[in-house]
Amino acid sequence: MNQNDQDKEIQNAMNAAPLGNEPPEDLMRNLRTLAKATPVRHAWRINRLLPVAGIAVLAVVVVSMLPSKASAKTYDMLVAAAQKVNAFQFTIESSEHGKKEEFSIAGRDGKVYMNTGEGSVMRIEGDAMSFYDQKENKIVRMKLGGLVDPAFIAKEIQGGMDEAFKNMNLKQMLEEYGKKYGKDKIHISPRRYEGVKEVYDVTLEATSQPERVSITVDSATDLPQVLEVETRDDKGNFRHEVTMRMRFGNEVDDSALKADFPKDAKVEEIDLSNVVGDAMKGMGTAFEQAAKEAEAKKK
Amino acid sequence: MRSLATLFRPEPKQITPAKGAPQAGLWGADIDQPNEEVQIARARNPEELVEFFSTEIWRFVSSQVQHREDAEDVVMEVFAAAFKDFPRLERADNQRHWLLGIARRKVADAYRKRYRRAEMPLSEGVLAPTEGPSPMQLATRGALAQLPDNQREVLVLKYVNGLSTEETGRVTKRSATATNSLLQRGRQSLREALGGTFGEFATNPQIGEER
Repeated sequence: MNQNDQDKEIQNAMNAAPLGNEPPEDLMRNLRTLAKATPVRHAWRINRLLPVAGIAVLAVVVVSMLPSKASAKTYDMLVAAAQKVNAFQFTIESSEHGKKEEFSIAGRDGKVYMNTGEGSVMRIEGDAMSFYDQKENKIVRMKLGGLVDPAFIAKEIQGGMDEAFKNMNLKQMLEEYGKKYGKDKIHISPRRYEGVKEVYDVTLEATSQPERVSITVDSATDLPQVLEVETRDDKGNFRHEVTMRMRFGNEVDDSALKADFPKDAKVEEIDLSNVVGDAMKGMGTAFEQAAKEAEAKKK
Repeated sequence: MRSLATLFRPEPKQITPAKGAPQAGLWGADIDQPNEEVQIARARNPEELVEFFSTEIWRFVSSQVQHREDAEDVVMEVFAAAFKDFPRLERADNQRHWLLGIARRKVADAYRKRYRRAEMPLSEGVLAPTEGPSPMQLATRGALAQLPDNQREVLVLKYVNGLSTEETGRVTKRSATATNSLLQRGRQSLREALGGTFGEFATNPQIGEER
């Protein structure tokens, strides 16, 4: 009997191993009930933040390449302009599967706040970073005690946005998009008024792509205001997936620049200066001991 | 250029089929074809996780846990653990492998509990009445119960869940070479445990599909 025949025998034998091809109905019922009853915090808010920020950057780059007055600006000039933005506010609304979720991050003058539809989750201000754990209803407040300047950390986060411009090479990505799907896949609308503000719309759409991205741009600054992503369903109809609203500079909403945690939340204070101080003391003792041992060996 | 979709879901090679869509290659690998890595689905919430993966997990667990009630309990435990850790599972490169990894640990726990309770030897447990098992089903399940845990689980992953040798290694955290030699030992052990019955699987290829 050759190897193939032997393998077929094993396969035939193993086909008899499960207690059935499908899980029993009562098990399926219980699993569905459990699935519905389980509160789940999706990871998308955090792990999609940077990609979404990337889309915002893409929006800026799209605008920079348009044959409008924005086309006069070079990519580098735009980057430089973005780096001067001292305040930002990104609000992301997702409506996957009919469930709406919200996430916002805002920063100004070295302070950064994150909020979700379920409440605030983080703030960096003064001499501390605070994180709120909704599950435990607990605030962990880390005092930095002069070891690290929280304003520096906040500026680093804000600076991350600027870095995105440099590292993602989106200009090249957009050029490739144009080459692959054709420049006619980028549509620009005539200018229109939204309230008192003059805006225009940019749409990225290719039949080979499952998404359509629409960007509303402030014609005075050429900065993106709203970015919407729609995806095609099985019948080819577009349905809304994500909306991202962006504000810069003076337009940042003051209400986004705070993070109020529940008053009844437990507070855990961690003084990092003490923790680090103790560790240094421990290291000092260890070094001292090692030096003594080395000395003893020499003798 | 990356598709715009990947800016939001930057995991390549993932497919989310429509509900109820046939999931070719999910199990019962065609042995005439090489096993290829198949990205079955990507669940975005616990309900989808159940719809996409419950059959796969049921087949993996019920191939190894002897009593139907125990198998159902283990499957519930697998999904409860998955729901609890859903944010991480949501980001996993391969949700299928991740879930099978949880299932593997839960099956091992079930075996340990069973030994601790010392209710009855596993080989006797398989003879307990279930819903109309065929003699061949009893023979296979009895033989599998005699195999070392590591051999049994790789055989199930390969031949019941239809994973390639490489994927089997990924789930069990072994190299492809180590997995291959474990599979060889597993096949040999299964042949020996089945004894004379083994030849009957060769003469009647439909036999294993009886339920």
